[in-house]
Amino acid sequence: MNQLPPDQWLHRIQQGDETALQALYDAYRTPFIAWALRHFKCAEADAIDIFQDSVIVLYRNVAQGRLTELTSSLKTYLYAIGRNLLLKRLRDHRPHLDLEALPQLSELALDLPPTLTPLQAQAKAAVQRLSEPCRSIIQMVYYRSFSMEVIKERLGYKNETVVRAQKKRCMQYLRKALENNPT
Amino acid sequence: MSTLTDTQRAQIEAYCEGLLPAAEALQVAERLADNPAWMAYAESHRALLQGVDAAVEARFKAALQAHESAQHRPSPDEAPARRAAFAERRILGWLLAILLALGTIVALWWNNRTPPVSPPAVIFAEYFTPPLNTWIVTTRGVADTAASARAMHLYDTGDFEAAAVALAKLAAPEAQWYLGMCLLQMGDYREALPLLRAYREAHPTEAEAHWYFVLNLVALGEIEEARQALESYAWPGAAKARADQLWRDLARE
Repeated sequence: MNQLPPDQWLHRIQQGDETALQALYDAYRTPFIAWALRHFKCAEADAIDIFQDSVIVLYRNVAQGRLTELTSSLKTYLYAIGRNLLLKRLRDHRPHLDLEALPQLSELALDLPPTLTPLQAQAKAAVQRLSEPCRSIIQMVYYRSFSMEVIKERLGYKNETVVRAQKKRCMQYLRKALENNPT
Repeated sequence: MSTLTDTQRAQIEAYCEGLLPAAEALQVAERLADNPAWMAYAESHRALLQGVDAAVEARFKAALQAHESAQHRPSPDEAPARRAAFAERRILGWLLAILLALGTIVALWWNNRTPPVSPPAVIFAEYFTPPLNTWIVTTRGVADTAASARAMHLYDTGDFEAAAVALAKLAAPEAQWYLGMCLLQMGDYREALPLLRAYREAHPTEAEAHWYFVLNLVALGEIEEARQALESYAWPGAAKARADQLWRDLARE
């Protein structure tokens, strides 16, 4: 599976193929964990947790159009994300470490999962409570930036105007949820 | 928030999503700064966007955790059998290790207890650890040029081939030294040597400049020159023990 050319991985993710997430996971899990254990001396559970986060960051960067082509191998890119996450965890959990001795975080560090504000956490909870078709529409519009035309085809709507109207209703529902549960 | 029209809301949403042309975006930004209702709506929309990302990724995380449990972790039924198999393998491993140890002892005795001689490449591999990037710190805002930051990012991620191409275009002495490090890690010892020699001559007080130059000589099998280079420098602190050990290993060559 990990022999799949990088552009085909990117294409699968760009098309919204969520099975690519698990396929990526299976392709690189074992070597990544062995690498993390060897170089960062972390617990296996931590290595697995970090690997899951790394796959998600990679997936997000491709899905949201921040990564459209690779200058290195997919493995190198994935390991670079993992390295940053591992370093961040080391810094967070072992404050006695000599930070100057550790490699610096690269610009990929900007892609680390953010800490949510109370309002954002409220919004996250509201999105998690959404049922279909709002959940799919909101995800396609805002997480994947799919066009109305693509969403119409994927979800089988009659035309794009109907999709827009449905999206508007979903957003009104979300706003109401936020206003009813102010932080 | 209720004072906003549908058009205004749509405009603020488009602004938050980065969909407005520059001129219109500037107008909205000015309006946001002046109008608390506009600002509050923008903040709630940004929170929603962030909430969408967080919710989607929480679902991905849960899916991967379930996948991990289902595909990569033994079930409770399998666990005892796996433990037994692991114990069996461990016993076999110990037996193998004991046999290997006995074999080594016999071989040493057979060779009249002469310690094995390491070829230079093995000594190089034993001592060589890729130096960390202490030149360009990309997250602290002191990177001098985008090109050097990019090159060192490639170096940091272990893509030495691409890093070498990028570093070769830079004239800074540090760039040339890290290019030498890339070449060492790619096994191009002959090409690395003039770079490391030049850096060492220009930075005679830097222990690392001497150390990697010596290792480069070792990799090339230039043992006598490597020993002379080791002796020519007053190694500071902990580096001295490491240098002495290498000197002893080279003396056996």
